[in-house]
Amino acid sequence: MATESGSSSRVQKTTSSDGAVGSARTTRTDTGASSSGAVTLVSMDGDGFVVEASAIEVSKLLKAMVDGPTENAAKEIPLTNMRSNVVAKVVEFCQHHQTDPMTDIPKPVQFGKTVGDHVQEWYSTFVKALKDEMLFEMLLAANYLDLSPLLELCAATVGLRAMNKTPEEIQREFNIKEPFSPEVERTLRQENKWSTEPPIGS
Amino acid sequence: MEALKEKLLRSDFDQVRQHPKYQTANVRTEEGSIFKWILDVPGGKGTSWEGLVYDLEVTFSRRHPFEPPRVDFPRTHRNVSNPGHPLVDANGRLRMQKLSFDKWLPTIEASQVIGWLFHLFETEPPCVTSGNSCPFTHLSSETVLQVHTFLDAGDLGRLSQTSKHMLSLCFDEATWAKLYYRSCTSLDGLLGEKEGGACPVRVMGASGKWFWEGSREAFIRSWEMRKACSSAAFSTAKTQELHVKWELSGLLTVAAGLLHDIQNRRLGDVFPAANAGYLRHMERVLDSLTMRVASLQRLMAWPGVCRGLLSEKDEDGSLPIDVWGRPGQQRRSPSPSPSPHEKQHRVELPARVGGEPPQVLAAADGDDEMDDIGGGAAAAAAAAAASSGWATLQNAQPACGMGGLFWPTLYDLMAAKRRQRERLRECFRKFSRGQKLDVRDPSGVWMGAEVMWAPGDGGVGTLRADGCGEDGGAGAGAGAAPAAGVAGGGGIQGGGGGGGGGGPFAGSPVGGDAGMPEWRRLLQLGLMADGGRALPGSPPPALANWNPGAGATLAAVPAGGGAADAAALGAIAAAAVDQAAAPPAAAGAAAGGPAAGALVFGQGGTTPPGSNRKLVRVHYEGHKKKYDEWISVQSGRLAPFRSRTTRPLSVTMQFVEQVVNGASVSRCQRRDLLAGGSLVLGEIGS
Repeated sequence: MATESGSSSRVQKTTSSDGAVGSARTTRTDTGASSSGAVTLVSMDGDGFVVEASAIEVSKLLKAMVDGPTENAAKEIPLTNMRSNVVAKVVEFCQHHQTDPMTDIPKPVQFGKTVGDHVQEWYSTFVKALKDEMLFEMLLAANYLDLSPLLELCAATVGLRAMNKTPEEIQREFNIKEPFSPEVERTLRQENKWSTEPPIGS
Repeated sequence: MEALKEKLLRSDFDQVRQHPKYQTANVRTEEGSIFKWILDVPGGKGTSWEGLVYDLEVTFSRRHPFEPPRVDFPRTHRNVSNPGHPLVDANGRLRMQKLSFDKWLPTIEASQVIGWLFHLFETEPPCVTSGNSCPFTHLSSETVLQVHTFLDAGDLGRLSQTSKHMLSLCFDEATWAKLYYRSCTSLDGLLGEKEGGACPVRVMGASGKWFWEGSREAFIRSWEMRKACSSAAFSTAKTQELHVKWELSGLLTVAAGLLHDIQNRRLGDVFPAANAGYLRHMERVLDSLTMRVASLQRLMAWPGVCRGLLSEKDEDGSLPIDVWGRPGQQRRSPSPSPSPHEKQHRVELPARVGGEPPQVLAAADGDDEMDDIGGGAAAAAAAAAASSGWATLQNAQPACGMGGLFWPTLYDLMAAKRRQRERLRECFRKFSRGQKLDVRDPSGVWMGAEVMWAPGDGGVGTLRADGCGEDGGAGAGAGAAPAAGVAGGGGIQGGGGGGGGGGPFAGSPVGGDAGMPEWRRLLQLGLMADGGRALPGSPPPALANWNPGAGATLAAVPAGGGAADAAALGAIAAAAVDQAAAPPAAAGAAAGGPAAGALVFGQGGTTPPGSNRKLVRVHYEGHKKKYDEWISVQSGRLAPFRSRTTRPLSVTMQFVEQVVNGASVSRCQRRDLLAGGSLVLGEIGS
């Protein structure tokens, strides 16, 4: 995981100090009225990612920052709560989303289906490449950035992993080590008995 | 007491006002009420909120030190245009752990809360999970709720058992409400909420915002109820008792609950687009409740119908078909002197054990579509509806309308009810070729059977007995009289009355297969002709369920074959109408009377004007083809497959019969029943 996300971020990353433009920068000129040109997203580690302003409009937070009252400062957006590889992935997602918007995922997802059954192949491979920790960080980042397609994609992936499993299996799947005290657990089991029985009609 | 908490807040307020850190916030109260504070919170340095200002409302509880305050981000211009905060949900409510009921302590001061709010915008929440062994438990609540939307309810329940964090998140009422209504697409789902009348309600809070209440309980309860009802299969005495109780008490409680909601305007004073789905759902609940209450009460009120109650669903899975056929048919004897124009069905009910005299139910005076579904049951249904929650809801209606609700008016509800009834009627008897069903053979034994031909099938044209044959009409009409006489002699009431109408079948085009034998073609033609409109004659009601017996048909066909086609038809029909008296009469008709029988045939005079009479050809399983029969789709001899043959009478029905007959109901059972469906059972018990 480290190598993969590392490599993808290396491709796109530029350092904010030298200002050299990586492959992330597209040469197309922006057509948006309010925002124009490139914006640099600065990650927690201090790396800058140059991205076209129109590409990040899918994120409501970033769009607000680009369009917002603090426009003079908007050319460089600090994302001090995200690591570089996350920002790189987000940028990658935004750029692809601009050319090929993601299809909707039905809610709830049907058991037995995969994310790939609902979205384009690019997105399914994209999300498949994200391993545990990365996936959750992406989920948090997408939520923070108000980037709904990415949020849906990640949430559906996480949801599918938790689907149709017993509590113990879920704990194992997500490596949750937070045992309840026995009596609390008994109460919980009792109260949630309905959920552990097979669904009606099956 | 009032003074004390106000004093407390007042001192906190002054403290905050004087604190240098909060000078920029311009903390103020609204309209002099110390319970609501308004403040502007600036974004911290180095965050993405830097330079921005947010409007916040802090509403302290009326039980202030003991309950946490609520923090809202009102939809002001600034709040909408500024980027959101991850801890603020879509409704503008701050979801902060420290301000939850669990974490709140009476020792926390109001100034402390203001400090937390400032702190919110001073640092950004981390989007990194590094260092945690299980990142999943460190997701923010908003994120996990996103995951929840992709999950099924069961998954949600199981997920809540994995960790404390998840458990706390599983108490989001809006999520449960969403799940609840998602599961309510079927009627069962709609009625699953019955027990205790639990149903998620949207409540308007003190701040004027809507939030959900009781949705988790409602969901879980409905889930359990549905499971209990679907898995029990009504196999034990306990379940039957439960079932009846459940059906009645639940329905009435829900009706009452809805009524309460409506009256208290808890449903909202306007229904914007977001609420439209909820409204529609409520309408559906009301409609189906009405239907169910009516059918149940009808069932309880009329023992004859009990036999027919089934909980089958139609193709959409949306409506129950409660009553099949017209029960009590066997007991009915033709009235001694029926008037051909009499529209009322007279039905003798079996005498109850209690020694009551047989009742006569008069019904079906033309306006009620239940007419051909339940026969005399319509009156009972109407009475039942009047005494049920439906009536209460109706009465409540004008009040709601005046309240300015976009709730359907009384008229709308009635129209919906009528539509539903029409649909019920429509799907009441839908047959298709190859469909399996149970049929009562002429000797009264139920047998498994298969549909060989149904009205919807092609191959044979249908005819309307409009009394104006194209070319041979006159001749047929002329020939009608003698045969009418014969038919009358055979005990067919009013059969001859159609003479004036002419021969409806004579000379009419037959869209049949050319290779088909003439007699068979005509037979089919005659059998499926859905006449009746033009024919004034009205035979006794019993006729509707008499069918052309196989034997009579076969006997008649050769006799009438050849030239006098219509005569053959007439003979068959005549034979069919009254098998007991038939043989000689039928033979006579076949031999001599041209066309007249067609009148008998085409008339179907028992059905009210405007309805079609259709026949279905059934084949008894395991029997020779020669026993195949044509049976009216309205006949009580047809029942859903396996409803009569292998499956015994449903236990509910047995129980109801027991109750009705007053046999062996223990005091305990009776008490429970009375508690459950006091209305209905009170009626029966008295």
